[in-house]
Amino acid sequence: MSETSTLWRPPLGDALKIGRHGRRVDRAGVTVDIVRPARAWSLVARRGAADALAIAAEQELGLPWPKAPRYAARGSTFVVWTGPDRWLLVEGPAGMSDSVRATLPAGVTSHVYATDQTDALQILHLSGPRLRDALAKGVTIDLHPRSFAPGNAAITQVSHLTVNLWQISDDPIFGVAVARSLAGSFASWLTASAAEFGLEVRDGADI
Amino acid sequence: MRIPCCYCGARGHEEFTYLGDATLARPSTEIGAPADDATAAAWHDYVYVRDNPSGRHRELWQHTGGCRAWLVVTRDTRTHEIHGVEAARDVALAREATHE
Repeated sequence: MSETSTLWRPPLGDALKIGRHGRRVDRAGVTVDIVRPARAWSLVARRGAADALAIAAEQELGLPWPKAPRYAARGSTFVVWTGPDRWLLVEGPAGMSDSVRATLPAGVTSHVYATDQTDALQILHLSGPRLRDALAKGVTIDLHPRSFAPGNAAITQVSHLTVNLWQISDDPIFGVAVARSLAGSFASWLTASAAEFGLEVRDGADI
Repeated sequence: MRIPCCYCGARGHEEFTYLGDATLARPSTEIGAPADDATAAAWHDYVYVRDNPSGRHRELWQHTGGCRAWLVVTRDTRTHEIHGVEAARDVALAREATHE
C-alpha cells in the first residue's frame, strides 16, 4: 500500500468552518474540536454474551466496560454505552496517517457483532465556560453537575436530532456523536446557539 | 408526561413512540393448520380489536429518541401517571418461560 497523504473531510463537511464565529470576545464561550477517529465501531453483544464481552474488553482494551449509560476512556480509546447491550467504541485520533488504523482484539470480536462507523458518525468535543448555557437551548435533559457528571452518557435529542452525549471532564468537556446525515443540521443548531457566547471551531487533529 | 426509561432514566414523552397494547398475545396457530373460523376470529381480534380502558393500561412504548429499547409501560390513561416500566424483552422472556 502506498503512503499517500489522505485529505480527510469531516462527515459534517463545510457546515462547521474552522475559526471564530458569532460574538467577538477574547475567549470563546464555546469551543468545538472536530474529532477525527482512527476507527469507530458500533458493537452489539451476541445473545447472552454481554458479561463475557465486558470481561474480555476490560482485559484487552483496559477499559471499564459500561453496563449503564456511561462513558470510559483509556488513552485515545473510549467507549460509550448506546443502549442495552450496545456500545460505541472509538480509537483515535488518527493523527496524520491512516497507517495506525487499529483492529478489534480477537477476544472482543468473538462476543459482538461489530459494524464500522468511522465515516458514519461525526464526533465532536465541546468545551468552554458557556457550554452548558449553549447546550441548554437544545438538550432536554439536565446537564447540571448535580445530575450529570464526568463519566455519564446519554442518548437524547438536541433540537429534535438524536445524538449520543457524554461528559469527559469537569471543565466541562462533553463529547457528542451525531449521524453523518444529521451532522449539518446539528452544526447549524450549534452555530446559532453558541453565537451569543462566541464560538471557536478547531480541527481536533491539532489538539 | 415523563416516562422513566428503565435504561436511561426519566425523559420527556417526546423521546418515545407509542407502539400499542402490551396485553395482546399473538394467537398460537400451528404452521399448516387449517384456517378455520375460530382461527380467523382469533386473528381478527388480535389485529383489529382493541379495548379503550379508562385507568391503568399496559402499553408498548419505544424510546426512539434515546436507547431504542422497547418498554412495557403501565400508565393511567386518565391521569398519565406511570405506575411501572419494564423492558419489553424481559416481559417477553418471562411470558415465554411460563408457556414452556
